[in-house]
Amino acid sequence: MPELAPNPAIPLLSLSVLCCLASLLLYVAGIRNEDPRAFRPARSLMFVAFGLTLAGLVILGSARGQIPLTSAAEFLVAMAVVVSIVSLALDLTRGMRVLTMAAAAACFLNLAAALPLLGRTPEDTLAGFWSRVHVVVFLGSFAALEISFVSSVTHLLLQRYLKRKEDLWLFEVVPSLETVRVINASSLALGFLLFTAGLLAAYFYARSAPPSAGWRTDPKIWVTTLSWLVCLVAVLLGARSAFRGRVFTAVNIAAFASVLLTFLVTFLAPGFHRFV
Amino acid sequence: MRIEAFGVNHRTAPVQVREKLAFEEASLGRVAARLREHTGAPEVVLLSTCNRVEVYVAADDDVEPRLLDFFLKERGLRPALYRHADSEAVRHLFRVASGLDSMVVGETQILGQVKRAYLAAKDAGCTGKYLNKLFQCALYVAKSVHSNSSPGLYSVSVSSIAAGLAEKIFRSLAETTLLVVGAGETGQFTLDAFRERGVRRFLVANRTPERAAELARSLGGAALPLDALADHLHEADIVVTCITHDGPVITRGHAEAASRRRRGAPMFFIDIAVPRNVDPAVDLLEDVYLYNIDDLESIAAENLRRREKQVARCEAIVEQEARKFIAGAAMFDVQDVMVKLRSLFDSVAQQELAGLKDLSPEQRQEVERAVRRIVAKLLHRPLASLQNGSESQVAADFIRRLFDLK
Repeated sequence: MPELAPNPAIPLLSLSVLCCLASLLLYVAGIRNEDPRAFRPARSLMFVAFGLTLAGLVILGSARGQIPLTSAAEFLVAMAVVVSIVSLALDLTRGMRVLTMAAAAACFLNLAAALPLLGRTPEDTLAGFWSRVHVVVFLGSFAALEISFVSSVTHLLLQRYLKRKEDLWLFEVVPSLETVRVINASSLALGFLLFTAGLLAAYFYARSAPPSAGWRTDPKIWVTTLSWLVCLVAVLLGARSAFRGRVFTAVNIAAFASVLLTFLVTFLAPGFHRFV
Repeated sequence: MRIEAFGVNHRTAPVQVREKLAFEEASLGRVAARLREHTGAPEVVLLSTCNRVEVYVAADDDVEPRLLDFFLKERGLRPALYRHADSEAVRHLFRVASGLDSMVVGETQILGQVKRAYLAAKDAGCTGKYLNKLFQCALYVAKSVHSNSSPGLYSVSVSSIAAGLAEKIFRSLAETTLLVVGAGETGQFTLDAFRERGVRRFLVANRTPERAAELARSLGGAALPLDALADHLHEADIVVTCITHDGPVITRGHAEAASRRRRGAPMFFIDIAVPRNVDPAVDLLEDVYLYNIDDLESIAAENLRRREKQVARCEAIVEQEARKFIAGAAMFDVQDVMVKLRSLFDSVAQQELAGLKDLSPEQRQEVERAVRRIVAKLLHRPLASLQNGSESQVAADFIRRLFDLK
């Protein structure tokens, strides 16, 4: 691919990567030293990272004169924005520090993956209204399901910690067991709803395509439908078990893993989603 | 000038003595002014809290006898005051402001009290450069300690650990129901910890119904007969058991039935009785958490270890800052002499310049510039050696006497 003129968003996003890394290191240091005071600067750094990433995303959009959701790099940056703002909101309102810590890691990986791609010619992957709705709603769904995944694992860990009666340090970065459960239930429900809406938007987009486009034989569409079914099982199981227990957690993890897979394969194996 | 701290605290004097010596916060400025007048110390700050009454002074001579006189006159007793001088006084104030000398180590309330005591003395005109610098530094050190460590976070009492654990399970303790089995003193003590954390709904089960009813009434809750415990277990989120009983009062079957009726909502059992009141097998149930006295005590031991680690970190910060302050304080006098010496030379030059009448403005400007250069050159070497010399303090004293600098 041809090299482009320096992208003005790159310095901001590079700085954001450093903030995410510094935040993550501070969280780890706080946990290692059993000192919760380290978490406040770590969170502040994530606020800075969020601001920088958002500014970078806006610059990306304005440079191309369109919504910055048309290339792999832009997806990754947008995902970092969504994940960090939702995590910070839950951290501030519910004391879910562990989410900000997870967001620091996720944003670091997202942005580190996006930066090399930003130096190249952007490849438009989206066209049409329903296609963009599909991607935007899917981003929201991914963020919600990520929160549900982190909450689910946290809930299981908290239960184990409480049963072992040993080191209860984990509670310094998370709210109470019941609060985690409520966050888990609501984020899973929201994630599933958005996932369903994203699939419907994709269906409307596919209907408008000519029959020769072959969307019915696209492997990614089948994988996504399968992921939706796994999410449905997680929601039903959660509703039955009040979003508690090992089996529910296992299915919830599987649901997130399958959604993550559908998200990543688009970039890792471009031919996998040949319909687009 | 020496900085000294005199006082009594919760370790050196019983409450009967402390309450006699204590002053209202609103009167601290006025009392400091009276103390200053009575002791003759140029600078005085009075700190009075429920755990300590302390007087910080900066003075040239020994003020202790006049201080004791003051307390005798004002409060009718001559207390046995502890006394810290110079570097020890600095360290002491830094530890006090940081909460390291408090009854509950790491508490932050004292920082506000120290700040208000200092401001009261300052407003009353009782502080000068020594105590201003000392207290400003103490407040900075305390903030630094609180932002770098948190010894107060770790509870070491069994009852507050139990209440803290409940907070880790339930969303809000105000929405939980607590069932206490046994109406003895231990149960009462644990109940208090839960009430402080917001629990409002109580059930009391006891072998003696009258005692259960009495305790329930005092808590605004309901009493239960002990044999009806199993039927009401599902109503409770938190169960505290502390009754003398042969064999478990709550079996796995009871807890299982209750958990089923609660549709898996978590239950927290705190068994502080010996012999134990709750069957250990209860802990095997999912969403049921059982802590006995050994579990709570092992958390207390772990918290104590963490607290000690944090305290050591705080002490290191205090020590480092105290050393810095002491090193800086040694230069106070020297800087004072330097300022006074320069102003003496400047005033002599100004007087001589004022005597020159027959000069044009240009000539006057030229002469003034020349005089300023001469003064600066004359003072350069002595001031530099005062600032950097190894025996600055001795030199400063000598210059003070030589030029009669007040």
